Amino acid sequence: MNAQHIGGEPGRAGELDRRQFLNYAWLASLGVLFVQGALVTYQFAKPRVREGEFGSEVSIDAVDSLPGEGEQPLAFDKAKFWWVESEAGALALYKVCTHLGCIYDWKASEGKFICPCHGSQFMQMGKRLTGPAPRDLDRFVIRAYDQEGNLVAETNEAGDPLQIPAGATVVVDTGERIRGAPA
Amino acid sequence: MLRGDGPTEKPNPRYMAQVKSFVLHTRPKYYQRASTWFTHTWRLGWLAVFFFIVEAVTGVLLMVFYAPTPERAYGDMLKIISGVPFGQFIRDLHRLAAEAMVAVVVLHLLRVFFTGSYKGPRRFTWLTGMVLLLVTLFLSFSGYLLPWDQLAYWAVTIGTSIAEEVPIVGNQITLLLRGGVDIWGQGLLRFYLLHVVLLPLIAIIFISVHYYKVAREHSISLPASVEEGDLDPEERKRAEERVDLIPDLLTHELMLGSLVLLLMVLAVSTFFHAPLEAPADPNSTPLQTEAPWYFLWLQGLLKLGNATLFGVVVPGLFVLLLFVIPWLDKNPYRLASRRRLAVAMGALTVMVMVILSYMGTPSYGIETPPAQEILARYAPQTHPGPVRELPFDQLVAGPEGARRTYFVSYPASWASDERYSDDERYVFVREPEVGGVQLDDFEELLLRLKSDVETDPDLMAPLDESAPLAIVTVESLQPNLKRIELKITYDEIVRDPRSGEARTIVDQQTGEERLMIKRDLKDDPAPDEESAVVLLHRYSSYGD
Repeated sequence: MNAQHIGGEPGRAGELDRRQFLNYAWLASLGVLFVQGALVTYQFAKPRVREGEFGSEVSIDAVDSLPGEGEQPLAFDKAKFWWVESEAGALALYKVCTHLGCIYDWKASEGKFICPCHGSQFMQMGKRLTGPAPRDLDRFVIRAYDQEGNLVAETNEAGDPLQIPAGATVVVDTGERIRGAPA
Repeated sequence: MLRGDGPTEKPNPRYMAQVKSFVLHTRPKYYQRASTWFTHTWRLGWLAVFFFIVEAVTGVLLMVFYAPTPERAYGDMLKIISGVPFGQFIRDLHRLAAEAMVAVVVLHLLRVFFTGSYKGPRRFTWLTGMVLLLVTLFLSFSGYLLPWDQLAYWAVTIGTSIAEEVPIVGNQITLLLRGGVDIWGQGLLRFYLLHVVLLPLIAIIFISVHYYKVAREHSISLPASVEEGDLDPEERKRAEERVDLIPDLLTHELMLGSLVLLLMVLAVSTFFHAPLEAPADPNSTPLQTEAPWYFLWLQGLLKLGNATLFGVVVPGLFVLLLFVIPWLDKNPYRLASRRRLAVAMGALTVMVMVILSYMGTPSYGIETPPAQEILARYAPQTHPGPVRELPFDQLVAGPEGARRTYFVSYPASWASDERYSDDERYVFVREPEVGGVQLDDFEELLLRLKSDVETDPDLMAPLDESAPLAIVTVESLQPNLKRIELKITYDEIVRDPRSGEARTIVDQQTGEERLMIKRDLKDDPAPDEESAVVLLHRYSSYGD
């Protein structure tokens, strides 16, 4: 390198001289500035949800009226899930088809969830039967608390059905969605 | 100029207008004649800017009466259509110019590709043009949500759920776009801001850069036949001579602009109307949600399989490929005969896009239950459809507005049944016995529905005659408001999944062998039912 070095020792091979160091420092801080700017923008624009709205924890007031084993699923329109129950336990299935985001319906006469858009079908416990949907229905985490407010049961990471202990209060966390198993 | 004349005055008085005027200075002072041949450029770039300006003007006018909130948006659309003088006119113009702009931008890209005009100094211009293509598509798509009707809501829901398939950051992108897990107030506001601020701003910047390159750096390409072909000197001289912007081209452009505007006004005042459907309902998805035509190819791709692969990776690579064409194509020639491979690949791409678009239409490759499909044909949720277009007064309800049942397709014995003898409450739809009877629209629709349900090979009237195959009921809820319900009750033959042959079963009551139907498999042995309800207001009916 033939650059003139002002006010410093000429750099030895493989070492940064002061000017190079300052240049890199400048570039690095500019980079950091951009990253910070992007993060701030992202944090600013990120949607936020209020307690009780869809996207937060929704507590279910009348736990006794939830459909039990072998009963028809119950729709929670505001919180966007279907409450379904079988021997294995309960699931809170996200109301949206895993194909392209349409709202599927419960067809009582067939005992299946059927999506009107592209005809995907799912069994009562969210298992994919046919159609273009790539995976089982997504589900939300269910948490059960006892009278003292201690967590007594919680949907596991795989999203398996949860046995709700008797007398527990139930909360569905619509902010925590577990993807259904791929078909 | 004659010998002995003084030096030309500077600036040249002929070009004074472009020296003094800011707007005119953005244009070149003159062109080479051949580059202005109509069949060379088809004026497509010019038309794109023209439509962009129409969009800006009509868009600002529409903003006057529109507030992007879920509570107001749909009502504001109704107000614009029916309560604002020329409201529907302006809205239709906005919609028409938007669709035209997409079409013209795509055609412009094809023209530049097939004339080989993206080579050499024009490579960077092609790059900015690609950005403008994407901006145009997103501008159009972001405007799609604003009417806040079912079509808009679900097309955008499906569109943004494709973004969810982007690896790693997909969820974040979808959340940022939708402003929540699903689209509601925040999402509407975000799409509105994209549509009226961010994307137009990007468009203006890139149009400026794009046009600066054309006007100041490399000008519009000459036709390849002039640049590379064998022209006799006389012809070449004429092809390459100067044509001044003022007055020659500017008058031509004014003429062209007026003509296009005239055609647009004719279109919106006769057949072209921007659609407006039922208000957005996040809890009910209409059957057959159709993407706008310029995204049908993407919907077609999605039907091929895995959404990440066909919704993100393949289209992403395709767009990337379009961006880098000028660097991939090292062939310096522009005449089609000297770049056969490029022209063939271009034509092939166009064909693939057309086929994919066809595959993207709602009816392709998607099986909907026959009853649902028939109902969606008569009372669709995404456009008015035949029932909503019936004249209000032809839909006759029973006495005092009570329900009147039109039996469209029914067991023969029902027609003579005592229970249904009251003509005011029950009507049996029959083909008129004598010819020449004047039927009204409603009667014609009932007959059409009758033949549709009776000729559908997959629909079977309930075997035990417990219900009619199809009925239509009309009820008057209030003065000027009627409820029309179409109901199909049917049995489905059970077929062997492999051979497709109908199965048989021994009937438990009669002991005879008969076709097996789906309810034999159910605990609750009722036939299947599908229905569609239309609420029709006298003054919002599309029929009169």
